[in-house]
Amino acid sequence: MRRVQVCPEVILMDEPCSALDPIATAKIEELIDELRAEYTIAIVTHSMQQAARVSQRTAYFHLGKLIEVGQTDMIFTNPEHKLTEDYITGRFG
Amino acid sequence: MTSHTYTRYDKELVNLRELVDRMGVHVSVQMGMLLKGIEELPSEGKFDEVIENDTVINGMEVKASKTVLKLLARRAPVGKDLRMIIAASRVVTDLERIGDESVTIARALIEGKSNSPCTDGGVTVSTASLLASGINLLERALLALQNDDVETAQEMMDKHVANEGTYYHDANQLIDCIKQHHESIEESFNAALQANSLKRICDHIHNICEHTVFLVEGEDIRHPEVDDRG
Repeated sequence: MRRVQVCPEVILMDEPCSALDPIATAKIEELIDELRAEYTIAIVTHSMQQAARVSQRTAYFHLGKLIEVGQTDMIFTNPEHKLTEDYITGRFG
Repeated sequence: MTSHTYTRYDKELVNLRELVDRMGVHVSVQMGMLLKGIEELPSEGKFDEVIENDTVINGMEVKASKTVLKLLARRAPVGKDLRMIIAASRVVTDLERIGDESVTIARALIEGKSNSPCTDGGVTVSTASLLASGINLLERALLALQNDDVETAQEMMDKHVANEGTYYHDANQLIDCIKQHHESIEESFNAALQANSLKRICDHIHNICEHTVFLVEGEDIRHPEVDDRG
């Protein structure tokens, strides 16, 4: 994070665990879980597992377009859109 | 469905599905052997074979469980892959139980083979027809699972519900008969075991159909009375 707004309502984290080892990643994810009690947190991540672990709602973007947004449980078990299904299951060629 | 970027993952999923298919065939053959044994009474050889072959089915369940565990641990599956793996895990459990119930029927047939006022050679009137109907239900349920065919799965579930009347009719007839003929309690008890196992077999087939709906639609339709799906 390059700049911290005083008392923000929303915190945007762009790849917060990029290139971190699993222990450091776990610490960041723990922190996210603590912070979400007081802040809305939006995370940009390419790690499917991280999105599934830490988020309550997930949005999938493809080529700049919002394809699907919904409860994380549903997105990762029964998404509505084929593009989402293909991406999360690793079928994107 | 398109292939995964990791082609080995595709192979692992295909292997699991094929294992479930093979296990289904084995279980269906077991039930067919029971039916043949009943039709050719006295035919203990067939019933012994059913008991011996159960270890093959048990072995397949263990293999499938290991594959499921490995896939969950190594591939972190999601979406339809996850539903397929979960459905496969549930289906093999049901198939293994069908195998166990077939063994119970085989043992009951070996034990209670003599005629009595309540049974014919240890068999109740409806056993053979219920078994034949069970085999048909199982084969169609497995085909529905293979083809992601929810419509046929639903049809099989409806048929199972319709069949339930016959089990209860059989059980009630046996109870009435036992009341009148105390001397035939042993044969009747064995016949009751068969009737119960036949009902359980069809309950498991019903479960397999429910797993097909879960696999295809992502909806858990088991226990509709439970309101905890949010």
